[in-house]
Amino acid sequence: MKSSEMVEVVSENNLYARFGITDCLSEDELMDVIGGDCTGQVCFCTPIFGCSPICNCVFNMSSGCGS
Amino acid sequence: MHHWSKKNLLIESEEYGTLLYVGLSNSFFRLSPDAKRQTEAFISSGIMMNGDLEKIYRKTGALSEYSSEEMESLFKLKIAKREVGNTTMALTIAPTLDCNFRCAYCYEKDNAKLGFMTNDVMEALFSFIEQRKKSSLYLTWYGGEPLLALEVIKRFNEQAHNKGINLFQTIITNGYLLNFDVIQYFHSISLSGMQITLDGTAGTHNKRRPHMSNTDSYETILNNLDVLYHFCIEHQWRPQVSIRVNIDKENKEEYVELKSLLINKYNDFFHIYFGIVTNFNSCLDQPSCAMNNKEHIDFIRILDQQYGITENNYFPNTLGTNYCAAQTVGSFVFDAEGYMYKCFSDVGIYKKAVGHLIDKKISNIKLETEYVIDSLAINQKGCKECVLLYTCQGGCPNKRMSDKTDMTKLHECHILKNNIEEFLVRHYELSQVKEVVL
Repeated sequence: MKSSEMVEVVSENNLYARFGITDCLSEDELMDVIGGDCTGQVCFCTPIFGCSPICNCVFNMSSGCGS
Repeated sequence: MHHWSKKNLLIESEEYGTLLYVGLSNSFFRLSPDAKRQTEAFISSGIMMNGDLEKIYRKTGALSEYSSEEMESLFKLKIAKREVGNTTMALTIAPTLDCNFRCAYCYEKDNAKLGFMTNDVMEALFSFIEQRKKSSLYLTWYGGEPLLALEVIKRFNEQAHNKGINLFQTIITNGYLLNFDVIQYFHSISLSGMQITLDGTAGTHNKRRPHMSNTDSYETILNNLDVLYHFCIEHQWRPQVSIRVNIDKENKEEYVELKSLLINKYNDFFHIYFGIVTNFNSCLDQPSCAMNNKEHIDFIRILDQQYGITENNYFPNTLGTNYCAAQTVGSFVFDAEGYMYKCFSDVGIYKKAVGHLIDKKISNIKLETEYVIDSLAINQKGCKECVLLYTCQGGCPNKRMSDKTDMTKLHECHILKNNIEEFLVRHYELSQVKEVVL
């Protein structure tokens, strides 16, 4: 039985990217993790865009700070 | 040896069967009966599962070669690596703490100050930036009302341009002075985001957020939004424009009305969201108007059940290693006088300044350490046990630090925490709906 028949994926995030465990990944896996347009891991926070978890092309819209 | 993560949550839903939330990576699945059987066999007896199922579990961290303690260590290491390897800097500048509004709930109202950032302070600010040798600077203009000090913003941009600094800018403004000329200027500097606050329709907004002389600031702001929308369409410019609606018990009904009005007119051009008014710095004249967690959740349910508005309220955000910029080493908020703070809500309160651009004698190492290290969720005993640890990140550090007797007090925890099964089932249900809802 294939994985697609075992589980229905609602949201899937990669543990290795999330915890910065990228040393053990192949180049293909790394690109899969961080996305093709990103050149590397960059983390920044702004009140409007929120905190970017992985790279600067993933804007995580949050309920921002401020009044 | 692989471990079944303690951050996994299996949910049995009468309607949808078995759902699995994986807290380590913020992943979410519905299991087939066979996958459920294999998963339970692994948990109870360690019987290895189908290879494809194991692969997806390992990729997302449902199954991990690391123990919970090792994951915590890895997470702390990631924080350290982020600080070392970060090539960007995120700063907030309040070019003035003066404001043309007199909002009843403003947490800065007791600390408002006249005056704009001087050349000396700006020069010191550029020295601060250049010493850190980062490749990009993410800058948020804040206040007071930053558009009162537009000349400071222009001066800063001119100097940054001359110095070859790569800038990404956003602004938090009440929108009153956001006229055509200002919009045109923002276009010229490629401003990437704006946050503008409206607290309901005309009567309510004007009452809650009164301009110091104009009794109908709502009309002015709405006109400005219209100009902004048409300018952006004409120039094919698409900054992220958020409309924040601060709500409490008094005005929560107007959120839907305002949102509908803006969507009907501008479709999805504006990102409209609500913020819950809190009693920061004891700022509220009527603290009883503030909504607690239960009232917040009730509001979410009403939005969903009565109006079909869901706004991603049912699934955790994928935050990075921290809740906000205050918890990162290189992020500061600067006021017009050169005081440096870690948090927006501290601006103008000198005793909460952690440094000063010119007067180097001013420092507050204890407070800075509390923000950057002590406040991290990974360091809180209550948070470490929580399935939402790696997504919630402990919530607002300022709020938690203000009550050190219990850093994980219920009312400061994420609203998902005590309703997680109900909310995740609803999230699954919504994922099956293909129609676009308001």
